Amino acid sequence: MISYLASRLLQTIATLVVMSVLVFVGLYMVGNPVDALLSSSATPAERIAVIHAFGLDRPIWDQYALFVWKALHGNLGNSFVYGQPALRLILARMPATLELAFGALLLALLIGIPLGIRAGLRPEGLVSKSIMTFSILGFSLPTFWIGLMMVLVFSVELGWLPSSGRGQTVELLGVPVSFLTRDGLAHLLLPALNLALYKISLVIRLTRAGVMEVSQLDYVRFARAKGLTEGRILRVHVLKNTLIPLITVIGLEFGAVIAFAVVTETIFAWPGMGKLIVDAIGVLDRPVILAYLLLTVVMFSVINLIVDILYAIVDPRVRLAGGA
Amino acid sequence: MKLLAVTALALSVALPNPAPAKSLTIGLAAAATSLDPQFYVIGPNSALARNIFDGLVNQDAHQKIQPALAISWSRTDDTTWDFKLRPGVKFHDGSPFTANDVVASIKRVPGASKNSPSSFLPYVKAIKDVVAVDPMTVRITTNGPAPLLLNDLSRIAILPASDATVTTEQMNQGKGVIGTGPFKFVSWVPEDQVVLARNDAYWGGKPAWDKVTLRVFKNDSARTAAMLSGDVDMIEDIPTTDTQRLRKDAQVSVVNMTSNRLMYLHMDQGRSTSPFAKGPDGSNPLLKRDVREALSLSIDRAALVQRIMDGQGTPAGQVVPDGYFGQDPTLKVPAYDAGKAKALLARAGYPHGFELTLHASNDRYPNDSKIAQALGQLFSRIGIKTGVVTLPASVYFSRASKLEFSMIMGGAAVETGEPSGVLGPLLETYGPGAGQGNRGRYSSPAFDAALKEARHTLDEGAREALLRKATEIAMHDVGIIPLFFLDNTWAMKKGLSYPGRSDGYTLAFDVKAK
Repeated sequence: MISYLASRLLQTIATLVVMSVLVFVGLYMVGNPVDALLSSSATPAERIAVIHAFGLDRPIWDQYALFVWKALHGNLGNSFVYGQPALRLILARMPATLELAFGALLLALLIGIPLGIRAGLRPEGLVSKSIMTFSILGFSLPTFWIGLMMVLVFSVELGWLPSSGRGQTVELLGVPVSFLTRDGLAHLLLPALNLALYKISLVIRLTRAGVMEVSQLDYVRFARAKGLTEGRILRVHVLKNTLIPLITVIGLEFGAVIAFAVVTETIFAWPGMGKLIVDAIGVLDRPVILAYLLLTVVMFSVINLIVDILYAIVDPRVRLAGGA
Repeated sequence: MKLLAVTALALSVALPNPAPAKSLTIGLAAAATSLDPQFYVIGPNSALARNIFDGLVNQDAHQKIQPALAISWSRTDDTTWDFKLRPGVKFHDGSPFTANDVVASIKRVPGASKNSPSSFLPYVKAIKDVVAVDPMTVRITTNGPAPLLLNDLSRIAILPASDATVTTEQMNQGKGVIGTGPFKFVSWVPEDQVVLARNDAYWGGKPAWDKVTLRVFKNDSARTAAMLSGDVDMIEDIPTTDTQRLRKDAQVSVVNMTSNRLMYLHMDQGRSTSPFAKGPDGSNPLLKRDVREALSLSIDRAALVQRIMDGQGTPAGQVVPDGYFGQDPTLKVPAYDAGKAKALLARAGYPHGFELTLHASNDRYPNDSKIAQALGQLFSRIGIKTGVVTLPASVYFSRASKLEFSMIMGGAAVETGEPSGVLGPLLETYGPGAGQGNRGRYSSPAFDAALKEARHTLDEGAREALLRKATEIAMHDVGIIPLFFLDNTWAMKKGLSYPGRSDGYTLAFDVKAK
């Protein structure tokens, strides 16, 4: 277990280094942030002063070395635009994004698994066919369009739910969350559902396929022959074995949910990290872009680790070994 | 403490509420990046600051200078200005406003500029010294005659002297965000919203709103949806595609005003060969005035504004809109004349046109890529084989500054309220300290001389004449091709009114309930 964790840590560090070099060189080649930031009436002297203040006049390897040195001391640099530590800017917005992502994940599981089971148990029924049609729509319609339609229908026409923003928040262990207030939940519902649609479809399909496959296996037939109730067969024998591929995919997808949240956050004016990174890219605010991407790498690594551990818990045949 | 709060609550319940709390929620198109009004010169920050802070003088809806914290001023000689301060003004924390606050605020600018991507230093550059003569008088001495001093001062927010050592970072955490403006700062969630409360003691009259919430909707559709769903009472910057829909909505009224932002074309006039403009012999056709005029005449500005901008613009023939200081009434918007344009091309030696690529941004100005496409078609109509390439602003401006293009589209805001603020950066001969945004490298000694003289002329009449002369020279040479001024737009619930502003700021104080 320890050697497994150590090798995972090394992998993560290697990814961080590669990622930071790529971003550094990439942004260096794209352009000079000062051209995007400075007003056109600034004199060349002011321009040079800003370039110097941001350290952009040094050679790129020098800039990178300085960045690594500071990063090792926990400082990922100050945002050019905000003049504040980039990491703090991102962490301040992270709860909103994570709340949205978890909300979407929860909806995906709560809606997707029951529908998937239903479709898997009686694949030929009309209800199952409708569920599968819905899942095709969920897969193929673009998130931003669905989001706008949701706003149009539920906010503009019907006026049931607010169209944007995060609503009232309360502190939970020092972190502002909105799902504990009525107003906050009302604000969360539409964006979370929007983000979850694709996930719901995915979960339905995975669950259906798993249930159909496992139901045909000998031990399920045997269980049935033994006279066990359908409920018990479903819970103990079918569902548990269906869960294994589901956990892997959902785990990986959770990372994607956070990344895809950008679109949903923009449409619903949700104050998360996604909006920050989009703007940062627009003005080449390198410290923010770097900090965000590095944080994403760490997040993905942690999610993968959790997935592997869960996997081992659900499937006793899996052993976590070093170098896996 | 708790007991006090309970008592206060009991009292507030017991007393009859004289009037329902009036609150206003506004949907903005861009987020302020800092609460420090002296940190970063950019529209959203300046607009937010104007809700909370005042300058010695303020710019009105048409960028004319109006008395604010100074009620009058006089010049004792070419470089000495005395400002009489408004008596009885109090900061949001209750402390009285005096000359010391002005001195401290102006002296704070260099410190607040340290890590700024675009600082306020240019606005204090002309100021040599500032002293408090008495508590109600400030004397400013300038490095040479400074006709734009009042414009500069209108950009400098006045903070209490106790804020002199407060850093930008502390302000971003809400510390020392204290001004004399119509609203007090309450809270800020970056990229999301700012909450303000009424300043009952505002010197300019009692604001109409108890509470103002400024929310940010960068996505155009989201902003319109927030307006239509009633999440907000008012939005700024209506997407051009939604203008018609909002105009037709009986619940919504729409306000349009010509903005101070000029869309223009820069043409490479600095090199005999240019990478993206090639005549049959490979030389740069844009060096010829006739060619530049032909390009200008080939543009149907009225159609551009009507079709591409859905009417949200005003055709331009010079660098400032009507009604601005230095606007030249003799300069008309060039009329669309493809026939004359073709004749000019032939006269210049290009009867069969030449090859040209127009470069433009695609995410910086409203409809920028669509405008560029339309321009490409207009140029093609007079026989110029035109390609159009659009790029994200982050890449585009860097490459444009390195002179990698031959013809580019840009937008310039008349921040000073008069032409020199645009003429200088865009058209003055490029060199150290001048022509910094002159990506076409236009150069005219006569123009430079007129502009330079205007910068040192304090007499308003003489200065206006010099600015007009400079404008006429540049427009006659077709140094740039002015296209149109963008419009600023607002939409609000019926029952609200907003006069609109050419600088595009959305100021809650000016939003009134009818």
